Amino acid sequence: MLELENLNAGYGPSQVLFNLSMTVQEREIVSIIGRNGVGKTSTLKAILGLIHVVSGTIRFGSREISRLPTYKRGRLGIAYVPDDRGIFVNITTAENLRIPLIGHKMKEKDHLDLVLSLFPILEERWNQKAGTLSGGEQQMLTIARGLVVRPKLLILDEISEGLAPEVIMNCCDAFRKLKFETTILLAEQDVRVALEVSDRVYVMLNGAVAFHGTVSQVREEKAVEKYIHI
Amino acid sequence: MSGQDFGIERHRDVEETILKKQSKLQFGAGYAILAFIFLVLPFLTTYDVLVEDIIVWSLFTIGFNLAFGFTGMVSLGHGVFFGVSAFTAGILSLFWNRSVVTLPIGIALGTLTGAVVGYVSLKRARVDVHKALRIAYLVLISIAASYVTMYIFLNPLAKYSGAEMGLLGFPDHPLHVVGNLQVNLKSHHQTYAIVGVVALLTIAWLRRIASSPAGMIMRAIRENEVRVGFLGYNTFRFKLLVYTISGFVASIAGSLYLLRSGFISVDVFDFSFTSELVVICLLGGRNSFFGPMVGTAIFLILKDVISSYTSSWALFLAVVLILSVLYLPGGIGPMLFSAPKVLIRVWRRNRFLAGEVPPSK
Repeated sequence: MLELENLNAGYGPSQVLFNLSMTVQEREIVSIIGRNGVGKTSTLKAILGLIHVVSGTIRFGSREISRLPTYKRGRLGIAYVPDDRGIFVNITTAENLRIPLIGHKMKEKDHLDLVLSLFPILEERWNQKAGTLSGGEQQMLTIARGLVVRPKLLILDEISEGLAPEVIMNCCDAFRKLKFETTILLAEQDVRVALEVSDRVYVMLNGAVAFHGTVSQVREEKAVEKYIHI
Repeated sequence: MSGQDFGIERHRDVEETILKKQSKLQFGAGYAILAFIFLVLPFLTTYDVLVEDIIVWSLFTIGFNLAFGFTGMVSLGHGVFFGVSAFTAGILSLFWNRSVVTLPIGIALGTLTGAVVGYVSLKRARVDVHKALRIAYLVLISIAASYVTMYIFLNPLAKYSGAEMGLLGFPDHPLHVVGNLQVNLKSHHQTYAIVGVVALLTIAWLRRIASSPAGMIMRAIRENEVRVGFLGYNTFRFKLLVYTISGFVASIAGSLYLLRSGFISVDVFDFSFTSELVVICLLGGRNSFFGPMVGTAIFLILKDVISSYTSSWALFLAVVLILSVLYLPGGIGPMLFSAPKVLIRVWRRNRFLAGEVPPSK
């Protein structure tokens, strides 16, 4: 479904991704793990078109998307949940969830019911300004906002950052439920969370993939110990 | 337990009913008040000139606020669109054809200027540019546009525009409409009838835009433009559209201003003219649709009253602005609009405390 091939990308003159190749199959949960600064978020940003791709291809479905502007990638069905949340704080929860739906043909209620069944707490905050929600609720709202349009691919960045363990477990449950709906690509610092929810894992080191395989392979090969806890 | 299960539908139902009730109430009462102010009030009071000033300026500031308050685009170029529209209409009717056709032509040219300025300044300010810089680009390019147009009208067009003197002689002859029908520009009632109706219709149209889903996207762009891009919206096109609409409204205000006062000078091209709009929007409340109208009223009334005592009226205005920024950061408008609700609540509570009625839910 998503295929990155020999991707070289960076911010201006400094390159951060080196010959990166990665694939994500349909209905799969894939995690990218690695230490700080190895290029996890940059990989996601390259997929979304937020950093400059020097060479290499990004294919989504059958389309080559590495030259498309961000909003067109969004329209193809890629949703992004950024690590800094970035909800619209001065409008209500309801409006936050409705903005992505404007212009979509499906009935609003069906869309909202799905995300509200995953995150029932949002219902109680329905008419509250999103800025007054707690950190965990804001995170849920961000995920919900990404999900509400039923994206083909959901890209999540550091969902565990700053969340209580219980909330993280909730999110993990939600992802397992979502597996039948959508494909998930997750960049995660917390190795336990990543191994808990994923089917396959990519371990990154210095802007390139150092190891990839299923969760059990990662455990067998002690990839985490090799590439992360050095 | 039951509350939890039940909560989902209940919360959303509550929201829907609140929205419906509000919109119905607002629609009825709001538009009645508005129509009264626009169409009747100027004929009832002896301060008709002031009231009409407030109306034309409200149109201008509400249109400006669509870009400034709602979408977060700080532009100092709206005086340009105002002026281009007024000058075009005035010059054409003096030197080419004395008919009302010149007004739409002026508005079209003003809008076009708006679209061009918007395109140039927004094009460079794509989302990968830092937010502060994006705003700076727009401000600087709009200031540049204001100087360019000012010198165009001052020098190459001096023969037509009257240069520093301003455009003179516009109201001397009537404007043709169709056949024998004419607008006598010296008749206060005739010109005001046009101004009031056009201003009212334009504001109703803007209100519709602001309360539509597009209005929601505008506010989302103000909060976080990059995220709106993730959601699949082309924010550049959207911002350009809002900017052009806002330039269109500024152009309408320009033409109406010319029609009413019969005079226009190159002062409007100066960006300090537009910066007054920023002050008005901040004073009235830039997050609320009718806030700028309140701001306009306060601004013009203060200017009118104080300037009859002292020429340094701007000083007093600055004090009012500082006080409002310190103590009413949301502006004076929203406070004024919520006053009836608060009063009703207090009155109900007092009646309840006095034991006259059982508590309402």
